[in-house]
Amino acid sequence: MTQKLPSNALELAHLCKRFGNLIAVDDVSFVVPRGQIVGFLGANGAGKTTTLRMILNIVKPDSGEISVFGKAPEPVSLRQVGYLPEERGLYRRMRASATIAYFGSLKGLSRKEANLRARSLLEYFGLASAARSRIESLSKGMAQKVALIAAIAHDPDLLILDEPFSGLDPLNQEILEKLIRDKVQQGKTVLFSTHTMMHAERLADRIVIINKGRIRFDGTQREARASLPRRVRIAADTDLGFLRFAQGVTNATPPSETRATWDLELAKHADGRAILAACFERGVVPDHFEIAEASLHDIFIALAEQQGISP
Amino acid sequence: MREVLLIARHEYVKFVTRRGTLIGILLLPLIFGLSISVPRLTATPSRPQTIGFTVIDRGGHGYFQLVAENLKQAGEHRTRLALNSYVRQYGDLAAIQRAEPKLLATLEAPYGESLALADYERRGGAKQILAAISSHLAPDAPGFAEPDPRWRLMRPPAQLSNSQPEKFESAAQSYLSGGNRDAGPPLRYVVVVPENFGLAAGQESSVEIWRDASATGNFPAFIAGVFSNELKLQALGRTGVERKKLLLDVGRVAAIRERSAAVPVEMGAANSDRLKNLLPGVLAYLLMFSVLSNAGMLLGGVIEEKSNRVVELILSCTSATKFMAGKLLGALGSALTMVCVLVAMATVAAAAFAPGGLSLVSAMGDLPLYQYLAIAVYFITALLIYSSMYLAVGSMMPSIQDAQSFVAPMMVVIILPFFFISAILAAPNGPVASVLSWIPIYTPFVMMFRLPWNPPVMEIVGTSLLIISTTVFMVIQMGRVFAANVLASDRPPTFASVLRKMATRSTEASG
Repeated sequence: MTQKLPSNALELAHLCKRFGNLIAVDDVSFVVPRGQIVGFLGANGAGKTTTLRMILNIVKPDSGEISVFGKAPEPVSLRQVGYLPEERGLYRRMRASATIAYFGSLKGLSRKEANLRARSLLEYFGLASAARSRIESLSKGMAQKVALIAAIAHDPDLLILDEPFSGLDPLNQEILEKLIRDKVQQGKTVLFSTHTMMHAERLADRIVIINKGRIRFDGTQREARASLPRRVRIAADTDLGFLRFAQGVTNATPPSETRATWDLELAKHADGRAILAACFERGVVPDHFEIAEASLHDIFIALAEQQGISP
Repeated sequence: MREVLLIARHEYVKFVTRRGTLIGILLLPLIFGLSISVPRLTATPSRPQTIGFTVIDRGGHGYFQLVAENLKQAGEHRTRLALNSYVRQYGDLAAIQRAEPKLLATLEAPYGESLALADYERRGGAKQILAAISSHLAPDAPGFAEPDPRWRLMRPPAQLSNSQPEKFESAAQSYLSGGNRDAGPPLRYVVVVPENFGLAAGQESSVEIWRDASATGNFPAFIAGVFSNELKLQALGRTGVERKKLLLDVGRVAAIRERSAAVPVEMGAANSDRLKNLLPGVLAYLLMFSVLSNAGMLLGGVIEEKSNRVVELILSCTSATKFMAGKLLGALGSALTMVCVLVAMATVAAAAFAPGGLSLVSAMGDLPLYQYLAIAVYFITALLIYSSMYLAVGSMMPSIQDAQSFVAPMMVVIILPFFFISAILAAPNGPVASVLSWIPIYTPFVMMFRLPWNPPVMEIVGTSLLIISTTVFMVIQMGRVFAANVLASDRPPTFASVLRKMATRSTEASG
């Protein structure tokens, strides 16, 4: 008899957590489907880390339910989870290979297996020569890689990364992004938190936005973009002020010192090509014309403004 | 349990491989060794200083002469006993016994034995005796040196003996403080025998001893012995017995001669006694050393784990309770290792450098089992109590700097019993020691010091039960504080809030 695996790696239902008078997490619910990358977005202090700590059973929720692969988050079920905390989470004076083996052992690997995995993963990530180096002697990027290897040494099915790109240079950010994609290709699931929208935009299949402890958005990137009107960016060697009154334009911002184009916000379902037609009717040929979907940054700001909160 | 052992192993390795631990392990015996050897090396051999005294016989009844005779006899007793040690070290005892059958018994008779002194005088004193047995002494034996007299009787200065009673004190003060002193040893005592000293009705049976404030020793006991004997002789003299005969009878001493079956057993027994007195105290010091070493490491370790978020990784693998249990187990293992290494080093050092040192160490097996059990209980419980306290405090501190302000007062509280060591050793079963023994955080140290002096069994059992239950309570309570605060990254707490948190459970910290 085969056991049907749950379709969601992680399910959170109505989680609440209060610290004294502060409501850190307020009725948070979302799911992380198997084999997907989910970006958990929010400003500093939004409640991301507390939510992640509750998932990992580090902090007990006041109410609500958490399910990791269909089970309550307990030491045994959490062995399927790899966790990378916001800061590196490493012992300064410990050697790189010993660090990986130690955390691998704590996640259930035998000592022999943990040592073997530490060695092979360090080699895979090009850190074989640093295996005997103490963490304090490694560069920030190398130490971050060691921490990441420690998180994945036991080959977890769900990887939870708290601000994994923080403090990494572009090259190491690229490497980390590749690793995340590779893991998903291997059938693993990734949940990562960030307050930098760029990474979520590039990686996430789904995004969850949290602010002041409440979920403000939960869905795919397409759904997120669809929640905000599209924009037209247009430039010409003549005044385009007439476009303020063009059909389907709800808001128009003229060029500024930092932007050379007019920025037109379109009404829902409005056709951007109507702007181009309006230009031609006036005999204006634009130098630049672009119909753009809203960025996650725009979405985040808009959500924050809608709810009267500061990001 | 697997996670606890993994964390314990990690903590253990972290501690025992620390440079500070290795230096500490090497330094401790070095400091002990230096503290013993430096005073010995720098000390110049000195002989006890002869103390001067005088006797003022108010009635002129010959008491000055009486004291002089007794002093001469005391000197001869001392010389006889010194000669006894010398003969036993360098003489062929069997040959001496054959040549002079009663000599050895005379020489080893206890101090004050009148018959032995009479025989010694009859033989002509030390010089004559040495001449008689010279052929039975080792050829390379050094010459016999007579001990210096402890006290020297000096003629009373006229100003002192003639001074009126009301002016006597200031005159005595002047002499005793060093003024008006001629050549000779410093005058430390003035004995004043009243004019009517005696036992008859209306007579005084006490003498006065005036002494320099710095004078110590058993001179008053010597004078008391002289005049007590004189009173006895006066009383017995009324029966008509000759004074010379009385002197001999009154001066008899019941000799108690200790004998042992064989030298090795005697040696072992002596070592066992020495070890019995030494070991618990040494272990108490080692306990203190390990507590302070471990505490610093545990405190620093928790704060480091908090600041670099390792604690989150650990807690995603196991519970805070198991995390703390692993830390305590690791600390315990490292402390026991430290003790074992130090004992091993002491054994090697004793075998290599101290005469009879190995037998001292091997005498450890002679200690009673209950003492080992009690030592183990006190040692382990103390480590667990203090370590859990330090872990709890560490869990509440955001940085090592903040923690330092709490460490100093904690140290003072912990080492408090060491300020009472002299009181404990002066009266190991006295009220101070007993009261301190029942204060749980001091029980281990105080009881370890008291063990050699056989405290009541009820106290050993009672304090053991008390400390075990206190340990259970403290570990649970401190464990709650640890679990509730180890993720906190709040502002440094105040003393009041720390005490509050330690007394009650606190809330979890936000992240």
